[in-house]
Parts: sequence; C-alpha cells; structure tokens
Amino acid sequence: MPHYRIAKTAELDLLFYWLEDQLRQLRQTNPVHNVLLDYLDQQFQKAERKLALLQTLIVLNDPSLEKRADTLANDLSRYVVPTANHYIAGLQRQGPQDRRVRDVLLRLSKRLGFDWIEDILVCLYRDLALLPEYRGLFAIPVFFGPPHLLETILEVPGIYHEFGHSVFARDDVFLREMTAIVKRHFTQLKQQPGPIPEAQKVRREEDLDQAAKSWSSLWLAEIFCDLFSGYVCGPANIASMVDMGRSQGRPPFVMASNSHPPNCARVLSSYLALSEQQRRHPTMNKIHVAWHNFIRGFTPGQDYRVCCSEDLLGALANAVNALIAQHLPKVPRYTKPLVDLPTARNVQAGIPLEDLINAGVTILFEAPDEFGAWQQASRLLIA
Amino acid sequence: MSLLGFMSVSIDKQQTLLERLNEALLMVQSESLGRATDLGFTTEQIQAAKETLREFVSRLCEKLKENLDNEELSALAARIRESQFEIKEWLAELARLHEQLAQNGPLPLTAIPTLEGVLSILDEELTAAFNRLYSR
Repeated sequence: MPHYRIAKTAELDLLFYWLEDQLRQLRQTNPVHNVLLDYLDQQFQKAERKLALLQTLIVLNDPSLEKRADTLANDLSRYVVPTANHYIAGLQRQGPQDRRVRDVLLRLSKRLGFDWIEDILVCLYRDLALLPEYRGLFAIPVFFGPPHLLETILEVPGIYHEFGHSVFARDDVFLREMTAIVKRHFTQLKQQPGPIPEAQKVRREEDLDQAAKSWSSLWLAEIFCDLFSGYVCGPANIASMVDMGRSQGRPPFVMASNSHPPNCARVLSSYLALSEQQRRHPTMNKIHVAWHNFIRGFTPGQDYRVCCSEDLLGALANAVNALIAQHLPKVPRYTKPLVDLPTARNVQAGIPLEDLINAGVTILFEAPDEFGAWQQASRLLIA
Repeated sequence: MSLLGFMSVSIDKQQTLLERLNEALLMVQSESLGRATDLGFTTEQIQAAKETLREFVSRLCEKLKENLDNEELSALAARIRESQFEIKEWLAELARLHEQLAQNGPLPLTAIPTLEGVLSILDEELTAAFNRLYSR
C-alpha cells in the first residue's frame, strides 16, 4: 500500500496545480466574483497546507502514521470534488443570463436582510436547488435554476424557497424546534386513545409512531422553506405552490416521497401561515377554491390524515413564523394582502420583486385573459 | 430543493467536523510518537488539538448517555450502540480518554485506537453519504 499512497499524493499534487491554475484564470474571466474567489482561494490555501503535511508524512514513512496519511488524502479528495464540480464548473460556464439572475438575487438578499450572503454563483441549467453551505461557509451559495427562471412569475417564489434552505442550514434551531413540535403532537395523540381495546390501541400507537417518523429532517426542511417563502413574499407563495401542485399532477395526498411532504400538506401549511387579512382577500379565496377543485378528485388515505393533520400543520406554520421573527429580525415579513386589479395592471419600474409577483397573482386569478400580455411586459420590471 | 442541496449540507457539516478531528488526532498522535517537530506542530497547536478532541469526546458521551434529541452525532451514537461492546464499556473508555486528554504530557499511545475507532465510524458514514451524492 505505500506505493498507492505515494501515487495518490502525486495525483493530488497534480490536481492542486490544476485547481490553482483554474482559480487564477477564473479571476480574469469573472471579475464580479472576486469575493467568491477570495473565499475559494482561502480554502485552497488551507487545503494546500494539508497537502504539504501529507507529503511530509510520505517522506517520514512512519508506519504508525499511515492511517493519518490515508485520512488526510481522503479529506483532500473530498475537498476537491465539490470545489471542482460546483464552483469551478459553475464559474467556467457563467453567461449573461447567470449574471443577470445573480444581480437580482443579490439585490433581493440585501433587501430581505440575508446579510450572511456575500456572493452567489448562479447556474441556470437545471431545476431549482441551492447549495447553501461550502466548507462551513454560508456566504457563497450556489444557486441552480432553469434557464427560463425569470420568464415566468409563478417560478419566482421558488427562489425564496431556495433561500429558505440557507436559513434552515445555518441555524439548527429551526430543525430542533420543528422536531419538538412534531414529537409533542404525536405524544399528545398517543395519550388520548379513548376507550378502545388494547390490540387496537397498540395498532394506533404503531401508526402514530410511523406518522411521526415520516416527519424526517428532509420533510421538515421542505415545509420550513415553503413557510419561509410565504413569510417573505406573502400570498404569491400560495399561488405558486397551487400551480406547482396542479402542474406536477401528483396525487396531493400521496405520502410516497422521502424528500418532500405531500403537496396538500405543503399548500395547507403555507395557507395557514398567512395572516387573517391575507387569507380573507377575495382573490386569495379564488386561489383556495382552485386548489380545492383540484384536490376534490382525490381521497386522502388514513396515513395522510394521521400524518398531516391540520392541527400539526397549523402548529408548524405558527411556530416557523415566530421563529423567523425571533431569530432573523432583519428579515421583513410580507404582510400585505393581494392588490386589486387596477393596481396590479399598473405596476411600474422600481417595484420590489415581492410586490411584482403578488400583482401577477392578482392578474392571473382576476383577469386570466390579460396574464400573457401582463407577464410579457412586467417581466422586464424584474430587477 | 433537490436532494442534492440537502445532502450537500449534511455532507459539508460531517466533513467539517471530521477534518477538524482528523487534524487534531494527527497532531496529538505525532506528539505521542515524538514526531511533532518533524511535522512542524507547535506546543500550542497540540494543546488546542487536545481540547478539540476532549470537547468532542465530551459531546459524544452526553449523546450516548442522554440520547439527546438532536441530529448531531446521531449516526455515530447509533453505530456505537450497535457495536459488540456494551454502552457502559464505551462510556468508561471515553471517560478515561477524556481524562487523558486533559493531562499535560503526550497522550499515551494506548489511547489512540479508541479515537481512531470513533473517527473511522464517522469516516465510513461520511464516505457512504459522499458516494451517494458523487458516485461514479
């Protein structure tokens, strides 16, 4: 094995030459990403020091330290992969549309108080996703999206959902508190079996345990991000989720996904998180009806009823609103209800993105015939 | 978010922890072997490395004792519970290690395998997650 170790170290040395060269070239071609490149350089220098340590271990050739050499080599390989796959590859392919979306996202981050974000690498070639953390840093997320991201108003709330993942990942208080709510909910249900036979009670408890387990950290992350999106962009979030739920065509009560809660639970929790004033607006009522017309064709199974009760979803919605207000006081809550039709028709340059997408929702549900033309004109206002 | 985003966060957190612990173990073991100067480690660095490991051992003991309701170290604690040794044996071993890391001199070489064992479990977990995300 020492030969393998020597060869692996030599390979890493070559990779590091390549990385250093790429970082230097990318600085020339991506002057706007200087902050991001500074962070990448810092991480490169730290990794380079580890490589030097590995090379010293190889020279020392002390059998007692062989395992340490192997773990160092593994650590360095695991540094190279995400750095190259996401950052180097993303920077190599930056085009004008990536940079335009980056500008929109940076302004949005500033406006909404995401002050931990210093630069964003935008890669428009796949579905929405965010890599919020890189080597313990939250300052330089990679944002993925489809190339038509800013062409359709209803895609935009997905952007806020993705930023929610940055919020969720950098402070474990959200996961901790949401987990506690789920646990408390199912514990209370277990304590209220009523007068039922013992065998039935055992079965009921098993079902409740199973339901509680469904609320994995993945599910909680997704619900959090839906709620976060609603917190910062208000009613438009619901319209976007209803659109997503309907266009996916997935049965809204199906519990088949390990990564996402059923669509109905996602829409309902986001609806419950809106303020009373936002919920009571007549246009919101139309959105609500559109969703109910869709789900009427499906029947929730017992598993859905146990797992995603309105009580639990409401408790999560209220808790997340309160947690965001408490832990992110600089992040403004979007408290406005949907606007009326004349206001929505009359959007002007300089309008914040959150107001623009809410106006779009009014047009979509109140004057659908005008939506195409409105969107054609208003997407130019996205700044 | 896609699974990519969620898993990348989880992997990054595990990796950050493991790299810190691996580096600390290298420093501490090099002192025990009389190799610290060859590798350029200072006394202060080694002392800080011992603190890092001690704090980690302490958090692991708490997790094993109280089955705390947080994600951190959950997979490691579960693997330890599944191992052939009783939890009380693990706890006794970790308590001894915690004590040894608090002392001024080099860590006895006999203490290294326990740390190595724990870190290798973390490494296996991380490798499995990493290969799921970046498999070829």
